[in-house]
Amino acid sequence: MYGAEEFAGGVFHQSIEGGRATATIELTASGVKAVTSTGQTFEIRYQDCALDVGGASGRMVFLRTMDRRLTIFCEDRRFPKALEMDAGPEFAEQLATVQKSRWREGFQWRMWLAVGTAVCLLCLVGGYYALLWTAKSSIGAIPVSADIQIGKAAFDARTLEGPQVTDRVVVDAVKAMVARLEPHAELKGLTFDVYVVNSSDINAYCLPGGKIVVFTGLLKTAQSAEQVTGVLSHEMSHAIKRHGLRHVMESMGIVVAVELLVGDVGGLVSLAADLGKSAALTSYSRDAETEADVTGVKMLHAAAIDPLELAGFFELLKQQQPEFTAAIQWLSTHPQHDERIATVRGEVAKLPPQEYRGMEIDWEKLQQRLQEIGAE
Amino acid sequence: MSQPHSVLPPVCRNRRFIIEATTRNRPSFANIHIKLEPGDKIIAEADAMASMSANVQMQTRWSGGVMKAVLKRVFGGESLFVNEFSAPAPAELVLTQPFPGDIESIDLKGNTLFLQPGAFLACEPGVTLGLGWAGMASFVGGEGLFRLKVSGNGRVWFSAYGGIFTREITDEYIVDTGHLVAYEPTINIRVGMAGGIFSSFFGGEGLVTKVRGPGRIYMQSRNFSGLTAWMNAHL
Repeated sequence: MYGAEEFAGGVFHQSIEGGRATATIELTASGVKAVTSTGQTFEIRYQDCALDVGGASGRMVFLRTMDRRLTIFCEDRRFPKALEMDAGPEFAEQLATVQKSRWREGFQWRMWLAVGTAVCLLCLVGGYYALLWTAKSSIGAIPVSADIQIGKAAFDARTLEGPQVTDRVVVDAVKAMVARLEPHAELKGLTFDVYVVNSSDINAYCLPGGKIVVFTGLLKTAQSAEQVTGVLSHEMSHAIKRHGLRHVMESMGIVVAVELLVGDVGGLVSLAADLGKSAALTSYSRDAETEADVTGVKMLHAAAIDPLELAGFFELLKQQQPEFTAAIQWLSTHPQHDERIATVRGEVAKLPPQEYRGMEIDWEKLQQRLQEIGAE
Repeated sequence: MSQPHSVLPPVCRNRRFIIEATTRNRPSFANIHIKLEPGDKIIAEADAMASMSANVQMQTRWSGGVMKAVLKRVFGGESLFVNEFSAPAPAELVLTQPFPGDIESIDLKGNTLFLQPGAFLACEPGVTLGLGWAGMASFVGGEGLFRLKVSGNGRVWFSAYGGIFTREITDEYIVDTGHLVAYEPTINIRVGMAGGIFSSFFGGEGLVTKVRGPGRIYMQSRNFSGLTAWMNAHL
């Protein structure tokens, strides 16, 4: 078998220009022979040979003289087997020992990697929840002016979803609904500004600080002014409960956790401003939506508007949903209709008796004006 | 400032492709001045050309085919395309890199060299550009999941942020993450901590790359993550 096979490899020796060269490796009866492309020949006798495994691939075989002046290496997959056959069983044992040692090192490294990854994930998740808790518990210490600034930044950062409606009949009607609720807001200092947008979407939202945007699609779909007021009570509750600010702080918390993990906190300051805009515009959690429903019910009750009108609007959406699946953005991240109807009714059942009175809004006139101005 | 070790003299005439190339303004703002003769070709990373004679012809092609180009772009940090420069008459071409630093050239004679993502700058036509799996150790150490594998015959130029210095590794040697630029295939790479857990993470060194020889490694005197962290801290 000796000399039957040749393997591509290389050799390290000081007599070679540059100290190394590619070589053809051959196993002889006495040892391992390497012939470089320039014809230089090197040989290590088996009895003078130390073996190692490594290289970039981790499976390159190195054969060295004991004084380490000459190293022959080969990465050919057939080489270890040929070495075992030609050099004898003691070489096979040496090779197996080295390979086992390298495997053990690799295993240890993989174990450390797995443990390290698990610890990092635990720290990340733990840190995230700690920051959420901190954000929630410290929100009361932040002045309402922060909500107003975030809401303004969010409002300025986006374009309205359609042309703004300036018709006095339409805008005044919505303002009257908001004015009826505003005195009963449990958080003082908010300024509720109303913007009506000509869009077929059945939607309305309230930014942190109190900027309310109502779509004409909502006004046309609702069956009464009280139903629209019910929806507004829900949206205003988001601002009153400071869900936007909480969302911003939670979002910043994620960035803080990631930044701490990667060890760079320098970029936080510039990120905070951008986050304020984007986080205020994204959807709230389902818990926040339920809290807004509950707060809205209380506010409607305090304003002497029947809170069941809000449940009535959900009933209406439930009936119309097949037709409006794509259009009902207002519901996209909200709890299911039945769940919300049950929440509203459950809250109403807990409330003391109240004499409700309707909104002083000419609903027919509002609908007629919406037709006249071509509201979608 | 001492010049880094170079495998070839600054001006050389290649035996196989007869292309004269000089690396100037080393080490801070290195660039390659190439004198093209009819029949000469140089393959360079997209956007590497700084200036050229009007008669130089530039042909853009996928870097080793569409799939390989996409893989090299995604995992190797290289461009989707490479430019092939040639000239029908004597002409001049200047290639450079987008960041300040040195350029090194290696004359491959059938051997292989691994380059870290983004290090490749140019090569002669006899050089093959491939992508090799670097492993999780390399990825965790911040050196990338894949590495560019250059092999064949001809010169290859690679760039670094800062100066380039080499070291012959016989046993084990430690390089901070982000400083390794190129290494021979006989080099084994692992990731480890610079010291104990406390000193590694609070001493600012964190994870380091442990290289084991024999073989030669090429390192850069600066690293990009250090620069970005420094800039972030001063923004």
